[in-house]
Amino acid sequence: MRVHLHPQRRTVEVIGRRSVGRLLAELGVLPSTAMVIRRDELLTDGEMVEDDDEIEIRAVISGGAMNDRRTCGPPAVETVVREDARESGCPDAPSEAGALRPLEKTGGFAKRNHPYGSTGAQRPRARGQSAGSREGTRWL
Amino acid sequence: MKCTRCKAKAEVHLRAHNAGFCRPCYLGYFRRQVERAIEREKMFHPGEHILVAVSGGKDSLALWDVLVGLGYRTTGLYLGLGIGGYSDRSHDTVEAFARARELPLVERTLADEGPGLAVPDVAVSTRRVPCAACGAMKRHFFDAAAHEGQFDVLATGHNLDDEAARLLGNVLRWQRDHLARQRPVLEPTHPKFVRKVKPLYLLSEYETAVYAFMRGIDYIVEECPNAEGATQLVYKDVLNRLEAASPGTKHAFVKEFVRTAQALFADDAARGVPGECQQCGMPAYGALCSFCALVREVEAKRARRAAAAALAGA
Repeated sequence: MRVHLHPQRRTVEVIGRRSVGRLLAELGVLPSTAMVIRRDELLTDGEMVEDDDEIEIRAVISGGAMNDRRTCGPPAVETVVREDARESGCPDAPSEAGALRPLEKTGGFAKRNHPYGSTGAQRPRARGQSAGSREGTRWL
Repeated sequence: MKCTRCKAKAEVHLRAHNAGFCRPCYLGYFRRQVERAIEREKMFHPGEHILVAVSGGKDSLALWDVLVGLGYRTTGLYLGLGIGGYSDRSHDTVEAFARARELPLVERTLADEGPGLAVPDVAVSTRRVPCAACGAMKRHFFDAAAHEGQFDVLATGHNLDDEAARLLGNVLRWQRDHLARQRPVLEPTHPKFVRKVKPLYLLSEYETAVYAFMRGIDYIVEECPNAEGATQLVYKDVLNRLEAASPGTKHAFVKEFVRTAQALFADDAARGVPGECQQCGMPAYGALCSFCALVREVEAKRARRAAAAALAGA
């Protein structure tokens, strides 16, 4: 599916069916900081998006995403396979350090199993996603 | 997810309220929230004439739209800040909004008020942060327009995120005088001031954006280019992380401050009764109001620069 991020003017190609909540987490967008729009309809976190969908993620925070502002000029053209690169341990894989992400809850199960745990490399695979899965996020 | 009210398919999930809404129920929810805020804080009543400050963004246009929908008598006020293409686009957006709904709109442009008064020029010539210069000028022109037009109330589109970020900034530095004035309603302290109100102060940016989207309001998605790096954005980012970990944090932070803590700072608001500016006649705490002091500074810097250029040419 094609995901257009506004006002950053970036387009991302995402492969594989997934929930809106998971899509936002993969793109480093905090819940309730962006509207997810498919055609003329808003989508909630539990809604599923498919490969042939055209999605708009429109930031609602004044100033847009702090670390990712790009509001003029032609749309960004980037080709980085985010998930695949991170899983292979590639040192050039994009870090989540600059992305907006929720605070971790302290202690217990939530911290140990947080998908973006302190090491960053131990991100668990999504349910049904095998090691050789074609799922991934490509920045266009 | 299903709508909390009618059980139809929900289009929006409000984590802070643990509720989902379909489109018709959400629009009703949003209007009720604004109505309740107006009544609870006694912001204004139906007979009063409201000047709505509009920038072309989602908050101010959503506010204007909902006030019109609730039957209030409103007039829009647009102030052209002279920030290049951004100001041009915001002007076109506001004008199109008002024209489509046949609403009265007052327009002022900073560049027309005097040479070098566009926000970027003032920021350069006075070496101020653009947002500081912009805020001082906006306050002056909003007050002046409300007084000249004999409006009863000035309404702005400040939302929950704006108020929470401002509150966090004020608390981090314990700015007691600022905390004393952080209220959803500011009563006038001078006959030339009007009551200032923020009917969206408990509605988040997400909620106003959803309202604007559902109502088909065409607003400026891009934010002011000068906002990049602004401290308020850092505070908003921190608050959004807290909100993601604990939904409802921002709402409780602002609502409980206004309900329980704000009154504790009331004594710190006492700045005395303002006099009048010798230059423009608007209320001022010194000989000149902050706007006229700014204009004088700009003029002095321009004169100095012109003299230096003339010397270099000779």
